[in-house]
Amino acid sequence: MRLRTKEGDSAVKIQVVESVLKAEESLAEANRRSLSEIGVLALNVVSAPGSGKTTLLERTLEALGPADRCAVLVGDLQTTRDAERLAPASADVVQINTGRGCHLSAAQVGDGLDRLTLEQISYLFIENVGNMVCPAGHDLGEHLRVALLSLPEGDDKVAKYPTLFQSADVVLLTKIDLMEVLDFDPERVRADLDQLNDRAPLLPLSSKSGEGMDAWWAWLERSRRELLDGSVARCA
Amino acid sequence: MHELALADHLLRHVLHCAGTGGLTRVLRIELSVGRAQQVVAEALRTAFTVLSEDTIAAGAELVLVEEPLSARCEACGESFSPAIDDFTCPGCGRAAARLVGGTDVVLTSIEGEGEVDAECACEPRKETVQ
Repeated sequence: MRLRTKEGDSAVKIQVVESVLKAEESLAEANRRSLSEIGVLALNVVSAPGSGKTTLLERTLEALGPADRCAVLVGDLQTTRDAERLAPASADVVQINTGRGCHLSAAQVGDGLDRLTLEQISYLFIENVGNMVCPAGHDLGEHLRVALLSLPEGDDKVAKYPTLFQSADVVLLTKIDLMEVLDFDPERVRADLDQLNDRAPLLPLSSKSGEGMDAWWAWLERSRRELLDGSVARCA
Repeated sequence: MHELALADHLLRHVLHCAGTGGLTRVLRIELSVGRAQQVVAEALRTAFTVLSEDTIAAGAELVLVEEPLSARCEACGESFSPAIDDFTCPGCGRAAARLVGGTDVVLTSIEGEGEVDAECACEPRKETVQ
């Protein structure tokens, strides 16, 4: 509803009450709906730069293999390097360069979806721009949000970036092969997460050594089953 | 960091609404900004100033009113207003809540100069390219 009141001779006030983000939210809902209809589980993978998103996806695509086909939308400010890394493991990889944009948008994901053939795809991984702040506030139309925290970043990051970890459906503690050489207290991460979000399981893993990867793949399989059963929490 | 993109969205809405509302110059823009958006007010103002040059919104004052977080516990259904770093439910003690408010950025009013009789039919624009 919009009202106008005249203030003085020439000043006019238009009361608007209109979401600046509404168009983006509508696009996110449309993305989610179209992915749900064809049984593609969409995961928004969010973390700081360098925490191991691309390596995790390389190992995941290899492990899921042809039985569970995956597609990937990769967001970066510049370069197609991540798409080139992932291409050998999946034919369905689209790089999105955001230029000045610090996070992917639902519109960019929608455009990316138009460039993919999604039939027979089980999982769509959306690798967001490396950033722990901006992606947290933007729904892309994913079903579930995957947050990564790598050991070299330090065990205080859940508390320092609460919005990201509060919105996560699973938290992957990556690069645990470095545990012995770093002063990192996983219990501190657990305690901070317990105050923000005890819905999300915390899965410690190493894409390099393979330790803990089974639990991640089991989580993926369970989540896709729940999507097909209609019980994924964020599934609109 | 995402203030530039937000300023871009905002400017499109302001120009659209001001234009269809009959304003020829925008003097003041009021926004409700959800806490979860983590908007830095000064960064948004700077971005808006740069983007709005040579438009009818150039030089407009941006007034930001923060909308607090609100959440609903998925374990017991309780609605509450959490702190940004503590989502413990006052009803059941779990931290199983999801945000239901404090997540949006809402344009609430535009003040300016111009005619008042044009019917404002502004709707959110579809252009979201950043």
